[in-house]
Formats: sequence, structure tokens, C-alpha cells
Amino acid sequence: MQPPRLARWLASVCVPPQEREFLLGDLDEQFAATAVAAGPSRARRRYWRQALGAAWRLRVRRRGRRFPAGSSGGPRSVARSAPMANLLHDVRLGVRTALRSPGYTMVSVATLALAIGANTLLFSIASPLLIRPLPIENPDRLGWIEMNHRERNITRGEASLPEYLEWRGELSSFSALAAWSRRPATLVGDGDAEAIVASRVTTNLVQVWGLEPHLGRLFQPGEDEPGREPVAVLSYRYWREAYHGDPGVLGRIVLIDSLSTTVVGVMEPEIEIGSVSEIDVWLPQPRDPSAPRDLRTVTTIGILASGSTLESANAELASVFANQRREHPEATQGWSPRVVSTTAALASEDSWIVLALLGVVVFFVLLIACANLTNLTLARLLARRRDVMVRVAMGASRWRVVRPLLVEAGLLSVAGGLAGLGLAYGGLRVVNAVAYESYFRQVSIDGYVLAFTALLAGLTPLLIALGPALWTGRSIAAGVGPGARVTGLRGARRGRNVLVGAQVALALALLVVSALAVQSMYFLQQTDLGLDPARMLIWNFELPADRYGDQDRQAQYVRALLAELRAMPGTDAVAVASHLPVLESQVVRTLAGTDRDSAVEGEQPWAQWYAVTPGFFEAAGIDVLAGRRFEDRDDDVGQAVALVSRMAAERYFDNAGDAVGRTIALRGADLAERRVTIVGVVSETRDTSVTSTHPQVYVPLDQWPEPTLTAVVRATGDPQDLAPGARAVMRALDPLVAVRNLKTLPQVIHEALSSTAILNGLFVSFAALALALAAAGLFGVISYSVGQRAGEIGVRLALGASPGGIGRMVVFEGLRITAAGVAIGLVLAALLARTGASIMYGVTPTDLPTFAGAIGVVVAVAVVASWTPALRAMRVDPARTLRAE
Amino acid sequence: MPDAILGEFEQLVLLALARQGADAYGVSVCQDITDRTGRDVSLGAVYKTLERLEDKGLVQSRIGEPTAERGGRRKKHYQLMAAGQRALRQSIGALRSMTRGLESELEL
Repeated sequence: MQPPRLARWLASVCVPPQEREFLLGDLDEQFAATAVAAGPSRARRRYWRQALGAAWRLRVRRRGRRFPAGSSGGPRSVARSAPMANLLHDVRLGVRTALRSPGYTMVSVATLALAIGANTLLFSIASPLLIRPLPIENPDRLGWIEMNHRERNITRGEASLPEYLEWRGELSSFSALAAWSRRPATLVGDGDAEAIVASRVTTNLVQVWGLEPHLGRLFQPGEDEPGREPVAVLSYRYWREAYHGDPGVLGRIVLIDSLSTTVVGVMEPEIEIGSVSEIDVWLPQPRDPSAPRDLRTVTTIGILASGSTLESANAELASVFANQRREHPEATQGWSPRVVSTTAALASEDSWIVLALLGVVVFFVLLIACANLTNLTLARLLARRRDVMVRVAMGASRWRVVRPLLVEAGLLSVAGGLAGLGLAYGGLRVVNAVAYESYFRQVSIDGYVLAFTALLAGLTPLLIALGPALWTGRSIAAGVGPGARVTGLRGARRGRNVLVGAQVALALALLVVSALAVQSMYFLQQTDLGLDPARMLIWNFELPADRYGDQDRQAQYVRALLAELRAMPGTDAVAVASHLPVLESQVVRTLAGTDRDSAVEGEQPWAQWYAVTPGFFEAAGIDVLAGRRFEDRDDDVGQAVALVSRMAAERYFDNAGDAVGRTIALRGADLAERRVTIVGVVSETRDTSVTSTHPQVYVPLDQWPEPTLTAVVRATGDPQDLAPGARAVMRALDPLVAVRNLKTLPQVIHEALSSTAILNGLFVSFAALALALAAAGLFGVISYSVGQRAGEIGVRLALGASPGGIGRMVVFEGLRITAAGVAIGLVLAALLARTGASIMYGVTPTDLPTFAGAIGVVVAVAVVASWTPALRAMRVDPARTLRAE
Repeated sequence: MPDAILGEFEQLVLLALARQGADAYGVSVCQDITDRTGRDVSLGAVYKTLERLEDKGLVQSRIGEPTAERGGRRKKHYQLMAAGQRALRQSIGALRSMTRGLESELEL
């Protein structure tokens, strides 16, 4: 058994070399004896105590020994001239100064803690995007192919499987091109069906991403060819949750979407970052070239071949896609592919803007905090100015004078950094708790974040001490004399005013930006979605292909489900739909037979398409504006009918009222043209982004059966109360049909907005912080100035100035600084707001009321901050000041 | 100049040296004081005191042989010198004369 190594090391570095060997020997001997007598843990504790005690005592002792006998008690620091010794001296001095004025220290540390904490919090949120987007090999050599559709406002979209397969065969810019898609699936293991998230990948993704198995194996080349034995790899998380980490899971056979599938491995846990962590099971993506071309579900990622760049890959892709467009004009209409880098692929442009804005915001907060501390430091330096002058006169260098300030600021920053880390940790816990998006649920403080905080804590003292250092320099230049004092003083005061003005400017800019962000959020929340979310309960389910292969069985199941749900007490309306508007990704069809038909590619009328049961419009709260809604007679033997949204009726028909009764053709790459008669017009609903609306067309589910469905129930009371009943109904009908995402609509909307809410919360708290710090700075400067001018104010009062006039004078001084700050702040705010224009909704970046309101708040805060010192100025006793003069 | 009066801990250390003869060293001094007074004595304090006593010329040190139990490190042995003995005698004498007549009162 060995003594604690760290303790021994500490003792050996601290103890003077002439004693080191004997002491360490004694410590070891004592350790061995104690271990025998009292056990190892007591021995270890005692070793620590003895080692530290000896290190401390002997170190202190050694310093004293430098003085010859008889001179003990002399000033130790004078004799020590090494730079490190000076630093130690300054550190001790700094600690003593800090302890002597605990109020000042606490305010400073708290200020820095808030600023550093805010920066750390933001950095820990942003760092996964900035630093480690995904734990994949060589992210720099990867190219991600995105599909964009300008007209439908789709960016970062996915490709279809046949498109991918052709790219894989033809593109030489990539040495390997993999595809993966994510879709819900149903897994039946031992008991009931379970809704899972499955990721289907081509087997070469293993190489492209450099994936490793945690257990068993990953996919082998060829396992993604059609007709191969189905195999599955469990995600580490799912393996832990569903199989309690049982290694015996390998070789087990489960039913995934009705296919007997062998579990061959468990994926490494390192990959579980962001949305990847939601994946339960990895499956091979069968490379089926006959898959529908307009079913765009696969994300395409490739390793750039040596010698090719994103640009060359883009050029090659464009020419390959031009061929595809010629061969399949229908499916490719409006689409264009683009190769982007990993960073660009993983975060949208908007999230970069949000992060950049927030970054500016927290940096401003830090600047404001530093300005406050600079002000405090300057004030203290001014109070000691005679001392400084004398030291300069005696030959002290500027560095010698400034260094204690720097060290003091350093100590405050270290304390502030530690406290800020605590605050950031607390803030992250809040973010983790309120977030629904997995990204925000997983942000944490890691090594990068710690390094960042350390960097900030190191940078802050420089920012703080810069002003005082400049001032000291000027005072040296001015020489020492009666005049020098005044010059130095005036320079410092001007410096402090400039600092406070800058703080006001920054605070105003932050206030404007955060007010705009909050308003965007508010308008987003207030947007009429086009459906009535209150009292709506929804869930997804999928009818397994083996037992619901034919459309009669599907229709039968839907009818039975609707009947059961309708019979449940507390239901108002029930419906089943292929998918929901607003909430779920959209299927698009082109229309023919309208008044806007066009042969030109990209200009054909199109609409978002939904298949729904008759009760859908009541259940979703969508109004029927003209004609009729679907009825039970619109079944598979009835007339083919459709409803169009108002926007479709207005955009695609000469006279919107004429739409009812017209027969149009619906087309899609995956289906033959079908003619339907429009029987009604309904109100439109928003796009998934909530910010836009597109033409829509509805058809009866009975005429367009689908195996993947969404149930909608409108409750008479709280929809949450119906959830257990809905589950029971589903289970009784068929336990092998899994219920997925059973939620109330308000819940879904709340979750969808939670990320925005988090970012807005950050904006608001940072802006409030900035304003509070700026107010504190203003208060400090005005207070200090009143204190300095107490004599002058006393004389003024004695000569007949009214107290009210004095108060106004003081407040006016504060407002003068504020006005200058506001002027600069407005420019800054306008610049920031314009940068963030694309993420604003319902409010323009130059919104006048917002700017006016922010100015009002800043001025009001400035008045309040100056008012207290003004009151003090009004109460100055002229008699006392005159006596003092 | 008369010899300075010894501090209490200095007395304890010198007494331990007096008991142990020429082989006393850090751990043994520490152990002796702990055994007899019940105080958990820190090695650092003992080292510091021994060095000071050596500076004052009351004790002298010599370097011993390395042993295995100390990880091959040597010991530093301390020995009481005549001046030390004299200082101890004076200190104890002072203590005795101060306590004389108070035996019953202090229950000594």
C-alpha cells in the first residue's frame, strides 16, 4: 500500500530541498506504522494532514530563514525580488483588499458571475453545434446532399431512394455515398406492439460515419439489398431500456413492422447526440430502385473523394440531377439538390442567426459587467490617487502600479468564474427540464465549456484593468504636481462617463433585440393555425401490412375504431386522417383541370394533400365555407370527391365560387392520375412552420386508403381525460397495432414552441441583466460624482441654489450620459435587428413602438438610478460643507 | 544575554531528545510526545522546532542510514547538546520556582 501520491507530491514541492528527503521518509514511516495500528484509511487521512501541515509550516519557515539572525521580522517582501514572489505578494495583497471590503467584493463577484455565467450557459448550448456536431469520423470530408424547393419553402429536404441510388452509381465526387432515413415502426417482442423510432440506413453508412458496435456487429455489405434476411441493430439507449442491457439479446428474433428480424448487434452509445439519440433501432435500408420518386425521406451523406471539394461535388450533382429531371419531370419539379458541409447540414441558417445574436448579447453583458468593474476600480484608484502619484514619483513603473489592480481583478474573475459556472449549471438544468427537443435536453457542461469559462475568467481582468492602466499612464505623463492631480482626475472621470455611456448603449441594443424576439414568439403563439387546438387529442398508428394488406381490412379497422371512439363518454367528434395539417410533414399533389393549368414545369398548380374520414372537419375545427363536407356516402363505391381550401379555390380558379362542382385531376409520382369532383371549400390551415399557408386538397380516406394513420378526437372536456380510454380502445381492437405519440394538441404546440421559448427566455434574461448592470453603473458614477462634488453643492446651496435645482442638475448629468448612450445604442440596435430579421415574425426589425419603448425603459431606469444620488445632493448640509472647506 | 526562555513545545521536543539519546529523529520525537501527552503532534511542527533549536545551538543533527521502510530515504537524527541541556534545566528550574508553594492549591 502506498501513501497518497498527490499529498506526497505537494509536500515534496513545498518543503525546502535540504529537509525533503528526511521529511518524506518520516511521513512514509509514520504512514506504515499508522496503517498497521489503525488501518489504511486512517493512515491515509493522517498522511494528508501531516503532509499538508509540514508543507505549510516548513514553507513559511524557509522564507523567514533568509534573514540573518537578529533581523527577524523585517519586511519579507522587500528581500524577495523574483517575479513569482512579487506575484504572490500581490495575490496576498489582493485577497486582503478583497476581504477588507466585503461589500465591494461581493458586488463585483456577483456581477462577474452573472456575466460569465450567461456566457458559459450560451456556450454550453452552442458548443455541440460549434465543436462536435456529431461523433463521426472526419466530419470535414463529408458532404451532405440537401433537397430544396423554393416554391414550397422547403430547405434541407430529403431525397427519394431512387434518386439516391442513381447518385450513388453516377457521382464520382464521393468515394462512398450513404443514405439514412428515420421513420416510426412497430416492434413486437414478447408482449404488446411497441411504437419505436427506426432508422433505416444503407450498410455503407457504417463506413461513412465510422460507426462501431457496442455489442455484436453492425451491418455487413449487401445486407441492404432487397430480399435479404432482415437484421436489426439496437441503439444503446433502447437496449438498456427495453432489454436492461442483456447481452443475450443478440440472436433474438423480433417482429419489426411484421417482419421477423434478427437482432445482430447494439450500436455504440457515443453516437447518441441530438436527434440521433431518439433512434431505437437501426435497420438496413433495402436498396429498392422501384420506390416512389416523390417519397422524399432519405438523407444522403457521402465522403468526398480525394481531390474533390464541395464546389466540384455540387457541379457534378447539378449535371446528374439535370438528367434525372429530364427523365422524371413530375417527381423532380421544383426540386434542386445541393451539397453542403456537416456544420451547414446540422444547423439551419436561422439557428446560426439566433446563436450569433445571443452570442453578441452575452458578449455585451460581459462588456457591461467589465465596464462596471472598471468603474469601481477607477473610483478606488482615484481615492488612492495621492498614493499612486507618490509611488510613480518615487520611480514605480506603470506596470508596478497597475499589477496589483490586475491581480485583484484576476482574483475577482476567478471567483466570478467559479460562481458563474454554478449559475450556468443551474441555468442548464432549467433548460434541460423545460425542453422537449432532444438537443436542448442534452446540453451539458463539458471540457470545452470549462475551457471557455477559464478563458473568459482569464480575459476579464485584462478588460477590467485596461482603463485604469491607461489612466495611470496618463497621470505619469502629466507628471506629478498640483496640476497633475486635476488632469488625472478629469481624465478618469471622463473615462468613467464614456464607460457608462457605452453600457447604456449596449443595454438599449439588447433590450430592443430581445423585445423583438419576444414579440415574434408572441405572434407565433397567437397565430391562428386554421384549426382549433383546444380539446383535441391525437395519436398515430400504423396497420401492419401482413394482416391489413388489402384495403377492405384497413377500412374495416378504421370504421370499427371510429365506432368505438364515438361510444366513449366525453367525445365530441372523432376522425381518422392520413396525416394532419400544421403538425405533420406534408404530401403534395399537382392539380390539373383548374383554370391555371400550365405545361411549364414548376408552374403547375399544386396542393398539400390529406385523406380524411367524414368527421375530420368537426374534430379538427376546420370550417366548411362552401358546398358540403364529406359524408358516409363518399366511400369506395361512391363518386370520387374532394374538398379544396379557400386559398386553392382562389388561386387556381378564375372565380373562387366556381370551384365547387369542378372536376380536377390529382397527380403524384407514386400514383396514377385520379379525377375527383370538388364538392366544397374549407378554411385553410397553416404550414408546419406556422408562418406560411399553402393550397390544400382533402379527399375521403375510404377512397384513398392508407396504412399509416392519425386519429383525432375532440373531447367535450379535458382531452387528457380521454387518453386512457383511447389506449384501451386501440388495445381491445388489435393489441398488435401500436399507439404512438398520444398527446393533446395544446401539449404538441407547447412542445413545438419550447425551443423558441428557451431562446426567448435567454434573450430576455440577458437583456434584463444588461439593463440592471448598466443601471448599477450609472448609479455608481452619479453617486460618486455627487460625493466628489459635495463641497461644490454645499457652496451652491449656501449661495441660494434651491435643493430642487440641485436635484435636477444631478439627474441631468445622468441623463446627459444616458442620451449619448441611447444615440449610439439606437444604431447598434438597428444593426442587430437587421441581422436577425429572418427569424422575426409578425414584427419588423425597425418596429417603432419597440424602439420607443426600449428608449423609454432605459431613460426611466436612468432617472431612477440618478434620483437616489440626487436626493442625497439635495440633502447636503451647506453649513457642514462650508466648515469643512 | 541570558538564554531565552524556551517555548512550551520546544521544551517538549528537547525533553523527548533527552529521553532518546543519539538516535532521536522526527517520527520518534513525534511518537514520544504523542504517547506521553496525548497530543497529536504534527511532523511539520517538530521539524520546524528542531531546526530552530539547531539554529539556536541547542541541538545538533547528523544524517543516518537509508532504510527500506522509508522507501530508501535517510533519517536526520538529532541530539541534545550541552547548551540545550542547560536551557532545559533553566526552563524547568524557572517552572519549579514559579510553582513552589502552589502545590496544594494547584493540586500538583
